[in-house]
Amino acid sequence: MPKVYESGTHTEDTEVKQLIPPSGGVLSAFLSQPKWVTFDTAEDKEKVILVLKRHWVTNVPWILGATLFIFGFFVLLAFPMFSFVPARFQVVGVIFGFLIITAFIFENFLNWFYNVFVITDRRVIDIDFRSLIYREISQSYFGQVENVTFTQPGFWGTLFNYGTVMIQTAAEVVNIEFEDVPEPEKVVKVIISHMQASKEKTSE
Amino acid sequence: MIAFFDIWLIAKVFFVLAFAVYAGFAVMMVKQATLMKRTIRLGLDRLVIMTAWVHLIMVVLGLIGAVVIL
Repeated sequence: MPKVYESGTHTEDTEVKQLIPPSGGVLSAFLSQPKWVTFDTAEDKEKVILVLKRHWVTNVPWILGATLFIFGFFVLLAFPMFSFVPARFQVVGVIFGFLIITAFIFENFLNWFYNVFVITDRRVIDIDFRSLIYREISQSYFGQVENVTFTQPGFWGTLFNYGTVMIQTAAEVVNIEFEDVPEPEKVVKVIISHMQASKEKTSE
Repeated sequence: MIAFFDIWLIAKVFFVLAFAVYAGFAVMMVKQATLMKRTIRLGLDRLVIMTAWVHLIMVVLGLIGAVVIL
């Protein structure tokens, strides 16, 4: 396998850019070498290589749900069955309904936008927000990574080229899974090249 | 007449309670957005925090509206 990245060499940037050229905007699920991304546990001069979110197609169920909810809401309002309800109650009810829809959309967007997988030039980090105020950050340095595999299950995964990247680490360290990320094959290649570079550095 | 009045009084209490509980949820959403922004900066952080605050303000206005209008 050709080296795609070797830490500490002059060709490092060119090789990374060949495999994963800097790309992606703020809403991209596959963000390569973003200059603006920073995180609170970042080490000195640590460079972000990839920021991955779940593929956008995994958002379709909740977007459809929200659309149906809004549609159903308007259908319900159009029915004369609520004509006996005083107008002031109808107004407050409509406001409450729309606030609920707003919260549903915002909460789902936040879950997608901030549950990210970060690959830096030193480690892999999985940032999960499981409930409203609970966060879980798993990380592993490339030296601790033992094996990297990916699965691309089902029709949609193959069609839209997304899958789950599994990173097995040393026994004491937790295993990390990047779920439903775009281009899992490229992600695996990047991690493997970093693992090799890390091993070479250690053996020197 | 008294029974009719009571129904809408119960409905008002229900709406006010619902808005109050929902306001607590909206506060948690602001805290969540702040925690997310503190953990990682992804470029839309100001907009996210602002949206969470606007949502909270709307809910508080809704709560006040429910108390005053109903």
